[in-house]
Amino acid sequence: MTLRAVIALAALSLTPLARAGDLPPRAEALLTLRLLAYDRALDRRDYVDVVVAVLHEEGESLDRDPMARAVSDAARDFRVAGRSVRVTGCPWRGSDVLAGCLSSTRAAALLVPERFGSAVADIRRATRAAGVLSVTEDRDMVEAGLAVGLVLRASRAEVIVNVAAAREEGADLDASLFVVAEVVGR
Amino acid sequence: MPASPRDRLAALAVVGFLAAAGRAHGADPGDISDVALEDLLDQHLTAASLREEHAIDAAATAFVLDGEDLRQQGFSTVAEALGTVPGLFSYRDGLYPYVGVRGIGLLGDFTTRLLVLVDGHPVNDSLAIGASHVGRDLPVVLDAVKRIEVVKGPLGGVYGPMAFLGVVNIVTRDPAPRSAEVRVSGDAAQGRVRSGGGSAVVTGIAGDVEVLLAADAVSSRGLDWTFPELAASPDRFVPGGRVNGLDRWDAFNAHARVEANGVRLAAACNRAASGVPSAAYSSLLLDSRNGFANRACFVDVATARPLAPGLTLVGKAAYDWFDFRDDYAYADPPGDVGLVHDLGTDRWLSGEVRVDWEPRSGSGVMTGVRVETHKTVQRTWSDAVPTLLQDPAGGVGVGDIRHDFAGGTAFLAAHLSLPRNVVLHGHATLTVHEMYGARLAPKGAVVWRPDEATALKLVYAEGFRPPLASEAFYEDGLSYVANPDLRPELARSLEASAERRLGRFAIVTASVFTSDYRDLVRMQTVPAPGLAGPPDPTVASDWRQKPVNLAHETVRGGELALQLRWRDAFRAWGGLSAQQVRGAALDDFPELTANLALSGRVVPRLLLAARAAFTSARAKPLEGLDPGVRTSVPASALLDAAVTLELSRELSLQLGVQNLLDAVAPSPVPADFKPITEQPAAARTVRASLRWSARPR
Repeated sequence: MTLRAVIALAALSLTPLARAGDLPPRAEALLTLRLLAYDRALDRRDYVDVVVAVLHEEGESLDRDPMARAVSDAARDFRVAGRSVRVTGCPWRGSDVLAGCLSSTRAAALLVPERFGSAVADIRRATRAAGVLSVTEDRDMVEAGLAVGLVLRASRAEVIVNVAAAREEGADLDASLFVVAEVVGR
Repeated sequence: MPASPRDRLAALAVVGFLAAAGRAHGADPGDISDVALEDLLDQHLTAASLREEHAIDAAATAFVLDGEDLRQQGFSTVAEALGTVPGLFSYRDGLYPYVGVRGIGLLGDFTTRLLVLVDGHPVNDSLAIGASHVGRDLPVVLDAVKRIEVVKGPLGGVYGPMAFLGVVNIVTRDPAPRSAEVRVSGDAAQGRVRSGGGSAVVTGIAGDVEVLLAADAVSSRGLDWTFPELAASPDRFVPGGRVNGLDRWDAFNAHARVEANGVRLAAACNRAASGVPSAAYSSLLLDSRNGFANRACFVDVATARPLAPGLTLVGKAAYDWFDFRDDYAYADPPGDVGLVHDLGTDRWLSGEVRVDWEPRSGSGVMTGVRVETHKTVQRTWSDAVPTLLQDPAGGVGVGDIRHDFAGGTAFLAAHLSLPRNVVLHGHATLTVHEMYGARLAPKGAVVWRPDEATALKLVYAEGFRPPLASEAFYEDGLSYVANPDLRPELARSLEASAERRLGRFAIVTASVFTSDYRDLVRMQTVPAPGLAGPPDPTVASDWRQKPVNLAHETVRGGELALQLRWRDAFRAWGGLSAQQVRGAALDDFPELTANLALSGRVVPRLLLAARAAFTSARAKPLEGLDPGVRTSVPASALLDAAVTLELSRELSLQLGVQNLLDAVAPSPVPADFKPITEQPAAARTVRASLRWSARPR
């Protein structure tokens, strides 16, 4: 009986795992702001406003971007660490341009849509150069080096943190976050 | 990958709540720190229906304690933590800690009516002796716990046997890359250092492999106890009733979990040993040989695989073993039987295959089969006299009492989403037990969400519990006789509840319930078999303890529970449960229980926590109670407090005081602990712990 169970489980293990779902923009926006409040480095930075940048395709209008709209809506309801929240867009034109955009806008976070998954290495280079916390809705992108993932797992939103990536992006996340967050990456 | 419709719907409910909260705040934006991260994520649990769901959507009254709650309060056992859950109360008999649910806290129960799960793996054995499953004998390292899910009420329709009064699911942490945590602690009471211990939790991630390793150990020299009944006893007199240091105890836990490629392998082992100061079962007072030890271990492998969109296959297999041994000293022959030992073992192999199908939003079906095979052995023997098989007149024990049995449960659970935010739940299990036949346990519920902040629930559930091995088959020729004719216990419960979120910070739950219990198994004193004449009430050897089924009892009551969370700075939870019993009187039945736990950050690095538990008066077993001994224990309250100082980001120091008021707060004990009829709470104890946490790198 034990042998049969082991064989059955081994066979099952050959099939791929399910992936988590996506969070709606409003939930992702609110969670992004909440996570920024865990970043102790935010207090040390000379920010007037907390700027959340949204990565988008070149030529796309930010007004039509649901994520940008959700962050704008959330910014009307909430501040972060006593500061107002502002939204800006950064078009994808490569790593250097993105880093420049993030620096010039003094962004605190960059929201990276799932469709930029193939460019994660270049995005990572830009966020590290600019010292900006990257947030995505795709677990794979967190495992590939972005800092924070906000995903749906079953019916619950889950926070995934790549601690090494977050640190390299200049974040200093409070340890209490790790009580509820899943940590990935080495 | 696009989200499933159910995920979308669930997330929209979260978003809707948050949007409402945002609007309520008006034109002046609030700080996002005012919103608890958990509220954004929303609590979820799996214990109510075997699938992840929001606590507010569960077809049951559910409560979740998270890891931060456990740390801030400085709990040292799961029993302590459960004592703060609304509707639950703690009691003790000097051997084990116990947890009662809504007034039901049977004496000598060995936690056989509350199903305890570790990451979904049931740890209750089928012996019903020598275990609490919520104390230091639980194979879980508390520092590795992420959350504790509590579901009240019978859940036979979901789990089959054992989930008679409710379910406690202990969920351990998710591994982080190269994280470590070490804690050392010590207790002092009655002017002396009494115990010391420590724990270590290490996690790591290497490629696709995630690992959690945890261990803890604690050793105590025991407390000094005062049993006033011993000071007044003519035949078992102890000056002042003082018994010093005889409840020494040691406990060790190890737990490992490895996950790779969707397969989870978990293994855990506990060993706990303790002395017995109360000289239960008429053993010799002040004899340090009185004691017990047990070992509980399991190995569990599980996987969940998607077969198609909305269709998931879950497989589990496990092997458990439980050993129990006690030693009780009696006078040497020819006057008595010398040092007597009891041994109990249970080895069981279990497996489960389940299919979860969610064809459309909010509706789904789950079906599966669980099987398990048990091998149980019980034995009582004396070092000084032969067994009854060798000496029917003066022996002790009847040799090995072996019972092997198999059982299986087929289950079907469905939930159907209807218009106007109504969800119907239907569960049923068909359990086949080799010795007690087949039994169907249904559960049905309606959950209505009239708005995003409110849930109204109506839940009907049944539970049952077959007699366990020690109840049906144990006999020793000394104190106990077997009763193989015992019938399974039955429970039926109807509950209506309303849960309401108040603003961003509070959740209030009110419920009323009525529960019928039939054939509860209790010990009864009966004449010893084979007596030449009528039994002499003054001669202990003329009497035996025999397990019997009690008559019909109905418990009706109401419960009010509150949870508050304000930023990361303040947490509070607690509740009030009032209930009445009709039918045969229940020992240890409190009509009122209440509890409250608070923790708050008073300055950035200083966190204060306090908790209180109240239990109204409880009756003692009247059987054999000596004249002049009070027939109930009075109402009592216990107060604990802790202060945590964060010395650095990695290092924290916690100082706590258990039983701050040094209250006696007695619990009734089983009748065969005579002349002791009540067990006081542990004396005021100062607890210090130093925790070092290496952040994930």
